[in-house]
Amino acid sequence: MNKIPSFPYATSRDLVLALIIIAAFISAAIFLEKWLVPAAGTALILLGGVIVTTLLTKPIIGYAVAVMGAFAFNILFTAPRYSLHMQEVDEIATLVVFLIIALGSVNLVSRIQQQNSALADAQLRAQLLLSLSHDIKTPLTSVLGNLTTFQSYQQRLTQHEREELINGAIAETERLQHYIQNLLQATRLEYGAIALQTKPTDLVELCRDVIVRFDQQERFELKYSVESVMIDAQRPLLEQALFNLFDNALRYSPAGSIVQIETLVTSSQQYLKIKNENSEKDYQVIKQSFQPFANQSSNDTKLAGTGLGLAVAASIIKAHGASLEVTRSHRSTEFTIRFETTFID
Amino acid sequence: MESPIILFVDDEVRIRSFVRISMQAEGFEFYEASSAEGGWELFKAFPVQLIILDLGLPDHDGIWLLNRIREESSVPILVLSARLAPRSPNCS
Repeated sequence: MNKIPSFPYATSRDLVLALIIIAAFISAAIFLEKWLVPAAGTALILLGGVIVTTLLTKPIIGYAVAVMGAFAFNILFTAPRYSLHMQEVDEIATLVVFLIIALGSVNLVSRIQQQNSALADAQLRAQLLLSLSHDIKTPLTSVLGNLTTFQSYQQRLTQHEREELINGAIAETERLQHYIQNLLQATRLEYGAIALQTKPTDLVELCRDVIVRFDQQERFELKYSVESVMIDAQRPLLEQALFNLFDNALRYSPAGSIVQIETLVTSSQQYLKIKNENSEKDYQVIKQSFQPFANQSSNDTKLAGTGLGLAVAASIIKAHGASLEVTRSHRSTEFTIRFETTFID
Repeated sequence: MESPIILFVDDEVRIRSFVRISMQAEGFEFYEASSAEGGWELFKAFPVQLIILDLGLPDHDGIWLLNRIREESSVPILVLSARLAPRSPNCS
């Protein structure tokens, strides 16, 4: 999770916005001056400008605008006009009160914003914990269940049942390992701790290597127009991204249905398409799942955990300068990876 | 004496696997389904005496199946779920 600094740096957008807001409020004060209590009324309008600026930009800009408002009040609305001199005691008192309230308001708004940030951060952490506890719990329950069943009943079980329990425990342990790998990768990507070291890589060969890692290899159909599609990639990382996408396609499509993997080449781009049948409901969940831990709620459907794998895949693909998009047509979901700067053998 | 019949509805194949093996080892007659519709079909087909139900199913929510069964039967239903929601009044 990214830490939100207490006083983020102001951007040029913030400065421009602040100038527009304070100019608008000064104009309003000038326009309304003849209908207002001379000093206090204009001070209140300027105070409004300070608060609005702080809410829409950054606290540091709010402080600057508070000081700017005090100068504007002095120069434009107190006697003698258009000068820094002040004669009237009530106007001096109004200016002092304005400055105190304006700075206090900025401080208050800043504290509320910090509290909101801390709350959002805490909610994200809670969501992460919920995600972790659920996605680790299911395979762990399976491993424990398979092994304790084996231990308790082994004398009464057939050889086939014993093998089923042990193979189940191994498969679930591998699933857990894969999940933890994704979790580590997601953390590294989140903190920008990965520096890519790319090499020319054959995309078709990489797809084949990923496919053979699956038990249900027969469900994949690999199509390609040229034997070799070369891209620049850090192979183990891209392999993990493809594994996550292929795994997603396999798991969230009807049993026995075919997952189509296709490489396409144009003069300037290489594409990899992954297409599988699934329901509109699954598609909607997948579409929303590109943020790590995004799909957590009170839901415990089989789609829980999809977010992490897809988010990691999306981050790895993005790190390669490629794009990933998901579309839907004819009851199928299609992922398209577009590699921009590559070369073809 | 006939074996008690248990219906287990869960979409996790490995969880179904060890529950089936242990229940059968204990002498229960065991039926399993990976979806709510599949669970409903088995419930209609056999005189089930206990249902173990997961709430996160691929086709319908487990609560859908629970309510549908409750319209016809008061068979005990044991809900297995990671869900953090209040208990349904139909759970027993």
